[in-house]
Amino acid sequence: MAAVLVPGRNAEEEIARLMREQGGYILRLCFVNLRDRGLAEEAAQDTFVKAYKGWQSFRGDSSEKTWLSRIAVNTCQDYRRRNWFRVLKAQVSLQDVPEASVPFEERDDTLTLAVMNLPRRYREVILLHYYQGLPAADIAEILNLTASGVYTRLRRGQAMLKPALERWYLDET
Amino acid sequence: MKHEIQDALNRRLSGFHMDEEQIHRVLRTARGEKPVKKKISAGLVLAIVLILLTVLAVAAEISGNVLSDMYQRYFGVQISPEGQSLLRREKPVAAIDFKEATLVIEQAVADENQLLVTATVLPKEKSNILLAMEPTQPEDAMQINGSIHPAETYQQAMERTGAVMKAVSLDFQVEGMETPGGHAFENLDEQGRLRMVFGADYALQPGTIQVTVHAIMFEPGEGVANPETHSITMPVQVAKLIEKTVKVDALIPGSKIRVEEIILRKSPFTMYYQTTYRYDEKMEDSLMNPLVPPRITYVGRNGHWIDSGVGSGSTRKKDGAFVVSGTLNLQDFPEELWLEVEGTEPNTWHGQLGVHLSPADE
Repeated sequence: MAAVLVPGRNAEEEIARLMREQGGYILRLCFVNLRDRGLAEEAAQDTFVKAYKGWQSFRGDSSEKTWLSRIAVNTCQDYRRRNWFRVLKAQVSLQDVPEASVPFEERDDTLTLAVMNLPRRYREVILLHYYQGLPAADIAEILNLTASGVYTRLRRGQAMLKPALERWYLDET
Repeated sequence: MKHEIQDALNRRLSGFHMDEEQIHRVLRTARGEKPVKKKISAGLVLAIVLILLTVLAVAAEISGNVLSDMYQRYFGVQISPEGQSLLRREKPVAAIDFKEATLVIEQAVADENQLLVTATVLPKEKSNILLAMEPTQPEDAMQINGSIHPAETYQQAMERTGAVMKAVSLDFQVEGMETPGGHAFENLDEQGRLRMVFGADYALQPGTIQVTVHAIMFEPGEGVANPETHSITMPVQVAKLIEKTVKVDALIPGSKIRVEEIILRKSPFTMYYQTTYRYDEKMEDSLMNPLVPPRITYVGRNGHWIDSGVGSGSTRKKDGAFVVSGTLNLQDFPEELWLEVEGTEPNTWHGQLGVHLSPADE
């Protein structure tokens, strides 16, 4: 859905609104992508700084969420290149995440870790498709892939997730 | 699957949110008033150091003490004479024969906190393949020949040599234990040798453990393509740690950070630290996120960093205290330690605290 630009509202007001509405989502996206809380917080802040600077060029061709996700994914790629040592962990953990504000179950841990442990190329498409709900065409645009490339990665990502989730996996994709 | 993933991530990661302070901080940065962050991340520093030192590494032969050599080169970490003697090997621990390369495990040592393994992969026909560790795409590959443009340099190297890329990865399994997190770094030299150091954060008991190494070589592309896997099991000695706890309970002068406790654990290979501290009162620095630990740096008396940056991590306790751990470039317990911290906003605050470690703390 295209964003509605409100006449008279400036970039600062719009970015502040986006941070309130989408800040948590972008933080989670960056954390699962980078698997490091400190980096994720820096990347999320940089995402909104970039969004502020690029606000005038945002034409509403995609939704605000898609636009922000694209910036966040690119920002995470930059961070990963710059911080390879910290990101290259043998295995990820949820020890560093802030205390959850809603109750969660053991299987939430299992699934979150399973997604975070996917190789990056699958993690990105799984996140964008299943977490954000973006269609393959949008993901292809964000990640600079073909739609068939997105489908291939989705299929392989699903296959890699399935064994970890066999206890409660529901095949309703 | 969609709903399960959305629900799990939203619930489990529901603590992530942007508060008004962060929003204010981002807007100030966006207006050009202040940078979001001032410090250079440890990862960036390490990457820069790696780039600079790769050139030096080209000239170096694989010594009999890879870990000591790599730590010294990359982090300035001196390994103690005791550690040096434990690391010294007359011959490699094990070798794995892949079709196109030989992987030599040169060292495998452990203390109560971690397992350390060093390995070198040597292509049989060095002009045929370029090696990398975990990354499986050219743009992720490590720097070659001191370039600061890894993807470009990697592509150039592939075009120049006509080589294909192979990725090599090691997984460790200590008998009876789950695989934990850890750190790893690599150095690909112009001879085509890939040197790797892995540190896995186990909680081990002194004695002998059985470690299984799964080595896998695969082609870059979609996932693990055409894998060639080998496994070997070997015994590894676990060295005992000596611990010293210092109850500090003091404010870092000039800051609002109260240091509660410092625990040092001496290993033959490194000095671990665990510092517990908290914000003593509301932090007025608008660029400081109260949920993220301020970076406290350990410095020597001369002001030089002694924090190696290896294996650092942090957690936040329910009562708001931060527990930050890492390793120091020290071979033995010091008589005193200096902790340094500064505000994010320029010229706001900067503090240093000296802590005396008496022998009685041991």
